[in-house]
Amino acid sequence: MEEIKEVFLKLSKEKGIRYGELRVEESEVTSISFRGKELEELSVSKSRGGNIRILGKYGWGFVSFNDINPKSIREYFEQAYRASNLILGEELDIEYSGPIVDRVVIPMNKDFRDVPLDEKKKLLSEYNNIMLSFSPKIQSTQVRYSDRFSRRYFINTEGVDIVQERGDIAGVLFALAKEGDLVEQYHYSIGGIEGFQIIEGLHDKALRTAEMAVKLLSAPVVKGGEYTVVLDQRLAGVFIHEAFGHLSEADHVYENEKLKELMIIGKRFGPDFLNVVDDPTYPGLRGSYKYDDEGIPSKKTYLIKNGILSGRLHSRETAKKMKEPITGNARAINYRFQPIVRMSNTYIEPRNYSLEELISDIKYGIYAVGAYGGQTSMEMFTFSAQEGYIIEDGKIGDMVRDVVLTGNVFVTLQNIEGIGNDLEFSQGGGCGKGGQFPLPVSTGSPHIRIRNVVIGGR
Amino acid sequence: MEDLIKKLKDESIEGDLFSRRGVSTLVTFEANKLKSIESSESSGIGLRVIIDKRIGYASQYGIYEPEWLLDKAKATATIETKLKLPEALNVKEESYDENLDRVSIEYLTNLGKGIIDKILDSYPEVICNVNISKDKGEALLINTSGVNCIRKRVSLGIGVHVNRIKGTDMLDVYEEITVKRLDNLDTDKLISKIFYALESSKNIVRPSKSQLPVIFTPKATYVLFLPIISALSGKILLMGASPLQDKVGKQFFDKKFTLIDDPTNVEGLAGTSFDDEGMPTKILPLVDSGVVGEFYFDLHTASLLDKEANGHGFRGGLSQPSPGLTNLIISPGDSNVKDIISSFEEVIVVDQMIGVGQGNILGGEFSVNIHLGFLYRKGEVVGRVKDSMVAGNAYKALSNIAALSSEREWIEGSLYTPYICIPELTVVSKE
Repeated sequence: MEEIKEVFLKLSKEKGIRYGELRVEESEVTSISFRGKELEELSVSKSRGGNIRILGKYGWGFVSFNDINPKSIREYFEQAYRASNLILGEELDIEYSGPIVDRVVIPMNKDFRDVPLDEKKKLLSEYNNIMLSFSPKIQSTQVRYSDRFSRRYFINTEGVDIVQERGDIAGVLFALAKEGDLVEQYHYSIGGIEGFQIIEGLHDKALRTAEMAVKLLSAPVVKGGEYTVVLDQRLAGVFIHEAFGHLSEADHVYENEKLKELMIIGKRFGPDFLNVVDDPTYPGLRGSYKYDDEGIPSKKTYLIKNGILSGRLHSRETAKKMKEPITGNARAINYRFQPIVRMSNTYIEPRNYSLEELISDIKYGIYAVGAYGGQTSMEMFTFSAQEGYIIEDGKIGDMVRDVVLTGNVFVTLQNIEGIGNDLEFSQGGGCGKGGQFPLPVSTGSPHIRIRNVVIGGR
Repeated sequence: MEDLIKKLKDESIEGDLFSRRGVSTLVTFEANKLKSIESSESSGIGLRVIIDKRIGYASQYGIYEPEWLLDKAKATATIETKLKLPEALNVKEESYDENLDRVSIEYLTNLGKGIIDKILDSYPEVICNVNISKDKGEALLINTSGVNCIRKRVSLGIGVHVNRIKGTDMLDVYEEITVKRLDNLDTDKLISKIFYALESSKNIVRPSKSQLPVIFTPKATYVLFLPIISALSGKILLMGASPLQDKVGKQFFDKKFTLIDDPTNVEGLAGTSFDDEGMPTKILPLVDSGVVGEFYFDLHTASLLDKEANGHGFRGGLSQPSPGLTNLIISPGDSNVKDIISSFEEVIVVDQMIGVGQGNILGGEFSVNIHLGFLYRKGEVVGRVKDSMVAGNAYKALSNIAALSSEREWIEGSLYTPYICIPELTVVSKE
């Protein structure tokens, strides 16, 4: 590594470049999955790759590669340098920071690299068997698990020299129930950076996953229409990520004058009691990190404070262009990609209400629980629940399925009527943007209540 | 690679090696301006072994350590299988469009600039983001039973995103084209589709009722195909979870609906004469005039089901083979889309959606936001439909098709489909 760094820094100096960076990433992944009774996958993989990014006068030159040695680095540098000089147009500048030398190791309680393959397999097979034997209506199952240990080296021409190591686990329990031609599914996803113990003791989750898949078989499809809805923590977390999080990523806004006007700091987006935060410094979550992929220290950012737009997420380039404080949110999923502005741990701050209080005066509405996922076009967004319940006269009643909700950023946040006191984070899944998927993030929220939400249905 | 195969043979271990190498160039325009030029070189290798009828697998990107690969593949050999590796197939697919391969970075940047200039000439108020990439890939497969195949591919893809904001109303139009021959690159057609969308979105309108006919444009049709493609995968059959498993040979879909997987199609990007396990590929009738046809398999999945493999074992990156498809082709109908639209008093044409695939795909249920959709009355476009959801069941929808258009379009270079009109779906709009 030292030799490679030297070559990079020497060439940068020779060419007199304004700003350049070199990233090298090493990782090792173990994947295990069951499908039905069969062990479907047990495999290991190892990877090493890197990239060089150089800022030209008007744009970026970027080269990613697998072949890493002093000679190849020289060639890739030249390639990135040439590319950066081919761009003409409007002058481009970025935010600079000072030198940092650091090594960050996120400790794992129980290091998954010390857990034998057989032990991992045995544990997952226990979960699988619980689901398979739950009911004859359980047609099949999937258990998927992967752990990834990665080491990322980052150096740049400002004297930043950082190594960050972390372990990341992602897993999902999935049950499929069938009755006649009707097929229903339910899943529980989990992820984390604190070690193998997070995947242990999920037997009750496996049981519930199977139980819910079977229950969905007898739930009717929700009737489409506009409803007052109460979202549980998981779905509300996805909601805030999709409904607002993406729009606060400055790279969507910084070159779009009209969108800048719509997203002006100080504009009201929600009720007084709404606070939305992105915080990579929150300890122990999948979206947590000390430095982003441009070598900028991470920090907590209020996106909405007391209902008012109060900040947004930035890279070096967007912060400079918008003359706003840099936040350390430039992230790349791996060495093949340039860092772009991404969320980390995004959540709604808790308030006073209990779930009972949020529901008590709803005449007719929907309680939507769990999340399949969500998507946004910035203005409009969708998010889908794993299970839904009719709320009638303040009571949670019968189950319904296929609850997909949609909203409009300029309307739906204003329609939030109440925020609960029970903040929880979920860490399964991942976020996709610009072809980079799944980036580890977490979303969090207490229960929340929103009026006039459109739910699709037949 | 040959060395490792020899070592396997010396130890009497069956196995295959699959390697990928790729070189790509990407130019990115952001807000009408060229923002970055990227290039990427990648290489990786995956080793699968079969020891005592058990599969083991290890892979490496950017490193090649034969000892590590073999050790790890042996250590993971736990998955029981009856699969037999194919024998003695020797295919070299090495021809590709050299004109396309030769295009320079300047050619790509000029292409992007040309598209943006044309759009801004007519619509100076919009913002264009454009990505243009040239990708060259090589896949090599060798096994211990004499398979030695190589496949080279070159393609060029253009993605255009146009954004227009009026007040708090945002319009986003996406179009893409991906070709493997430079001669087939028709950017004027792509631009004319964008113009049509911009022109038709001037007014925001609401349908007069919630049950009405819906036409899916070629790029929106995948919301209907997704459940069928999943349900016909050998993996889903293995789970006993396919709603189509007891429908094979039966009339389940509309007679007008024919869907094949065609690895021999010369225009499709995914064409190949062998799959990623060394089996010869063949055309698969997935749905033939509404009759459910064949499932598709990789070798291991087929062996678990005692089915004959049908040359559809493909690998995503360096993952292990799993059932995969090549070029999906849907048969056209008789009338052109204009006539289909005109045949209804009121009809919605859905072009872009948000939230596809987030729900019970296998069950066929869909409920998606109409991100870009147009309302037509008596054959004339009256405006854009937004803040609305369209919902239905894909199996039911495809068993009662009002019409398929005579014109077809390629989507992402590997789906060739007409417009599809469903006589009635439920659309819920915000009050």
